[in-house]
Amino acid sequence: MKLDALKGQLELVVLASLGRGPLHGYAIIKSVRERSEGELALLEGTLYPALHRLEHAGLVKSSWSTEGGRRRRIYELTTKGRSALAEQDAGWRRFVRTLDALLAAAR
Amino acid sequence: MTIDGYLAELERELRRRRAPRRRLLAEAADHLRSSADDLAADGLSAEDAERAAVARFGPAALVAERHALAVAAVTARRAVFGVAAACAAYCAAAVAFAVAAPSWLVDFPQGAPSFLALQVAFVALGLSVVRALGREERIRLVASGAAVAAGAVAAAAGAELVLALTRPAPAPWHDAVTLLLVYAAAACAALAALPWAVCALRRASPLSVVERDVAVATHVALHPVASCGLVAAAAGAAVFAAELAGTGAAGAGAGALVEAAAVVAGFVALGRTLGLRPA
Repeated sequence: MKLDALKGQLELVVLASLGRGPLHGYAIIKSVRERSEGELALLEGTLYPALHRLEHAGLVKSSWSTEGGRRRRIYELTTKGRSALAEQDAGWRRFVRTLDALLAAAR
Repeated sequence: MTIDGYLAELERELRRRRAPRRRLLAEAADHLRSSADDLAADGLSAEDAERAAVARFGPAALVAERHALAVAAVTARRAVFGVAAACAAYCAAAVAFAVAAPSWLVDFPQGAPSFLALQVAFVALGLSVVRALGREERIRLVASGAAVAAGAVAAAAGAELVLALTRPAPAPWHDAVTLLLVYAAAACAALAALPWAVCALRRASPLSVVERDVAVATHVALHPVASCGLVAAAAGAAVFAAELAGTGAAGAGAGALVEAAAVVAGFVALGRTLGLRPA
């Protein structure tokens, strides 16, 4: 998928990746790549500004940790982030159902 | 490009945008090295793995721009709340003076500079927030409004201090010590909000604006503090003109005219900063 199509959904993608547990930035990218089977290609550096925005909105929290001699910032969802994810998930499903119905009518 | 070369470029791009650097650089370094390790494990040479990891990360200028905007949005929002609180505190101090000041203190600090500054501050904050709704450059507009408001109140606090220190009559300070402490606290809040707001404006200004400093109007837009100082000076001139004309209706009329002209001139000078005219 082209970057343009993902624009605006990057934050939902990040929230969804963190839904299964805390991850560092590179692990979020790897999880997106694996779960989307390479369909979602994003410029990896743009993940960090998105994480910054989510953190300041109180949806994500982070802390430094050291893994295998490397200092990494680990991100995890807050309670507010978890309910935002559930809400956006429901909204997305509604959107897909509506669009599906419209497209089916045009077939 | 190697990882070290890319990190140096990213640092330069962040520095140009006055964005915080340490955390993003540390995260980018870890990300790029992990990515290059994985690519090397898949069979790429060390050099190709670094090049591919850098390409996947994206152009340094784009990453720095997104990061600077994300940080600017947070700083601008905080600055607006901080400045609004400082303006409200200053306004409350002025009202307290108007209600409870002893006769020798009635002209301070609700004199022309404070009155003018609070008008400029609240109009600037309100205008920038309304103009920012749904606009692409909203972060810059909000930060501009905060910077102008903080600059206006800080300039007023300074002007009032000068007026107080140059008053001819000796002042029995102990008669109004609580009021003076309230005013000092409000003035300190206004002064503390100023660097915060200016930092938000600097971070929110796109590079094209920061680097284009030839036009006088751009200079004004990027120096809201100096502009507000000029507005406060104009307010001082208004007081002086009123005193020259003597007391009574004529003096008050002259003072009001000069003050009104100062308000209009202030907003014309600050037009671009507040988004009233295109930058």
